[in-house]
Amino acid sequence: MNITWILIKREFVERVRQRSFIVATILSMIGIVLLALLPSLLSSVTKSTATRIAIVGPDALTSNNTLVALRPTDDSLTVLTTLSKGPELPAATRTLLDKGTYDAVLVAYRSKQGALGFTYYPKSASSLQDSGAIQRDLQQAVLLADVSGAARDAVKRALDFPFDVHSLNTRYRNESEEFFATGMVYFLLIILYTAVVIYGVQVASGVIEEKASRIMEIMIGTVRPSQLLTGKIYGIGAVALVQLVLNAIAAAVAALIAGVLYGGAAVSHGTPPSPEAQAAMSRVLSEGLPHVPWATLGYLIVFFFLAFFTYSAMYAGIGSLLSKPEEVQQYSIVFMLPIIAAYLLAIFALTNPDAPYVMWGSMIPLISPLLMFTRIATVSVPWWQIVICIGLSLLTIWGLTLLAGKLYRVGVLMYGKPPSVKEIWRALRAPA
Amino acid sequence: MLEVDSISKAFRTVQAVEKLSFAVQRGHVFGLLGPNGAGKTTTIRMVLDIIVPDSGEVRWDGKKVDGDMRRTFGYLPEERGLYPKMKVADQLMFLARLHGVADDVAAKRVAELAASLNLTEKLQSTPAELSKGNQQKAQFIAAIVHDPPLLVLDEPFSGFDPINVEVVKSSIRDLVARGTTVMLSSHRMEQVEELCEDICIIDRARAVLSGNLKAIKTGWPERFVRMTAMPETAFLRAFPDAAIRPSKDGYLELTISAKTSPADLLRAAMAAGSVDHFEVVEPSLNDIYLRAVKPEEVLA
Repeated sequence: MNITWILIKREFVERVRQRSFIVATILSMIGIVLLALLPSLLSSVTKSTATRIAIVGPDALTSNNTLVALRPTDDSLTVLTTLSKGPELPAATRTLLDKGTYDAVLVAYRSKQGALGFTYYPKSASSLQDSGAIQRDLQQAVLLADVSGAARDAVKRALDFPFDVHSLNTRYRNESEEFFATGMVYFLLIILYTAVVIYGVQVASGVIEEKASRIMEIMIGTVRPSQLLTGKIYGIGAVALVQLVLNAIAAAVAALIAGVLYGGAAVSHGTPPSPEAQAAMSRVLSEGLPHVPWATLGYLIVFFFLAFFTYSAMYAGIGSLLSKPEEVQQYSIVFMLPIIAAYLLAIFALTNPDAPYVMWGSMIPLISPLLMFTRIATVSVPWWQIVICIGLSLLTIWGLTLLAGKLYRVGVLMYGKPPSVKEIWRALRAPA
Repeated sequence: MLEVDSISKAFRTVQAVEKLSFAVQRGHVFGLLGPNGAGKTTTIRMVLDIIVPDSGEVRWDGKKVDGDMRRTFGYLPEERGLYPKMKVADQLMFLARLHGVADDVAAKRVAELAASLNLTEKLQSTPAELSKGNQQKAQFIAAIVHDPPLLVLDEPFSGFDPINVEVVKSSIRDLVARGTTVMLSSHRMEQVEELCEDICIIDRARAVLSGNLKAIKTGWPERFVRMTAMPETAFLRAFPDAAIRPSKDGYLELTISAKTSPADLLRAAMAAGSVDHFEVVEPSLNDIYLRAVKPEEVLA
């Protein structure tokens, strides 16, 4: 059997067998399912507790107009026969609120000048939150209240003016679609960043553990440092791939469950939400969250590995120069700085994917994997830029692995104090 | 046969090993001796192609040692350890695979070696769960699991308790009986004396003494005499090269040169008083070592 393959296999099998790995993987899968189900769980909770609003008006017509104006909300509305004498809450309706028959009372009244006014009496904080939406919806009622005949129809038609959005962006048809897509890219970017950091640091601490336990001494008598390095990086890379795939499966399952839950909720609910709300909701659930283009997911994997191999070669090289696991903490800023920079740039790129610095940055190794992924996920990128990005990244990985191999050769047999810059320089200049 | 041909290695300004040569016959046990920092570990690492010598060459059966060849060698480093959380059996199988041994052969060998070293019950444990002695046994098995033609042991007895020292010694003898060539470095003169046919003493990067241990002893320019303490030592005046060595147990101990006849010394002593005990002993490796690493005392 090939030596590197044996090393990769050991690295992979031993890591996957660890209880800590199994627990962390299960927890992250559960986390993803919960996170994905959260919107639909929340929406089903809020729907079942729709605000029950009692309407009291100065006359039956005004009360009824108010009811019509408020219909677009999800609240359950009742017009009471009690008539209002002013903005005050009539005593009879107060008892209804106290008994819990209603969550809020909306009092419509006429001022001394005859203008229409409203006072909203919510009982709880959650019904208080509705007040803004109610005010918006009531504007129509106010506008229509004191006009009649032909004028009323004219106002009605004017209020019903057409407003369509036709985005010239080929990716998003409207604002909400863009919002969800950007959010998704942001989410994927966080996954990409955390995965590179977590697994990269695992490479560094894996190297140091082998040194600290002195197994390195035994290994180095049998295999070449470059083989040890490759085995470590590929083994951990395989672990990362498995974890990412498991998490993706969890996300897919969550999306499936969300779809079922949402469908069920719509049937069981007494008053179905407005068609617009339902459509928006179902898009979030059936398309928005799980709907990431396959190409984007493919690129996520590609750029994860480009970033992972770039950084883990660096981490392995630096790790081989250290002796104790504690020193990883001490030197973590050295590990983290470039990837944090790449991450911050990618977040800027998310809001401004066409900026020149983003375009050029997406071809500069070390920061390019995160930036290019952001661009590909948000705008259309010319193919040659993708080729340059991937090509330069591969070259960098090749170079960094070579350098790391040199450091490894010197570093793995070095204990005690971390090396000086001079010693590192000497190691890098030595023939491989 | 292992041939170390004039190897040198310098680390920056420090000359770690300088023009060191020795040879180890197939099936022999060779001891590399020397004080701390003399260059023993560097020499061993060059033999195993872990460090490339600045000049000189290491050959095994006439061929220069390279990566593929050293894979067949066995190595027990001075600083040794195993993966703390990986089962002992799994690690031994893993190391055997790295040495190119097929799984079924390796499994048989692991079982045999574990049985001979009383480690069978611990094979399914992790090193973190083992006592230090058992960890050392596991490490020793790791070095020999692939039945190496050449076994290199760097301070094999350091940290072993006396019982485990015996266990390891008998394992080394078994390996030698099977034809394994062994090269070891040690501070423990008694063990080297017991195991090694050939030695090389290095001091400050250079070989100061090397060759067959028996030949070194017989050719050694000094003899040691241990005899009944005499009331007065005036009879020694006839032997100008005899020197009294400090003795703890009431005997008179002398160093004489090879030119002095022990029979003449005994006759002179008997003339001076009664002698109940008179013994001529070969120098121990310890005596030789102490002389060899003190270059300021010029040897005859």
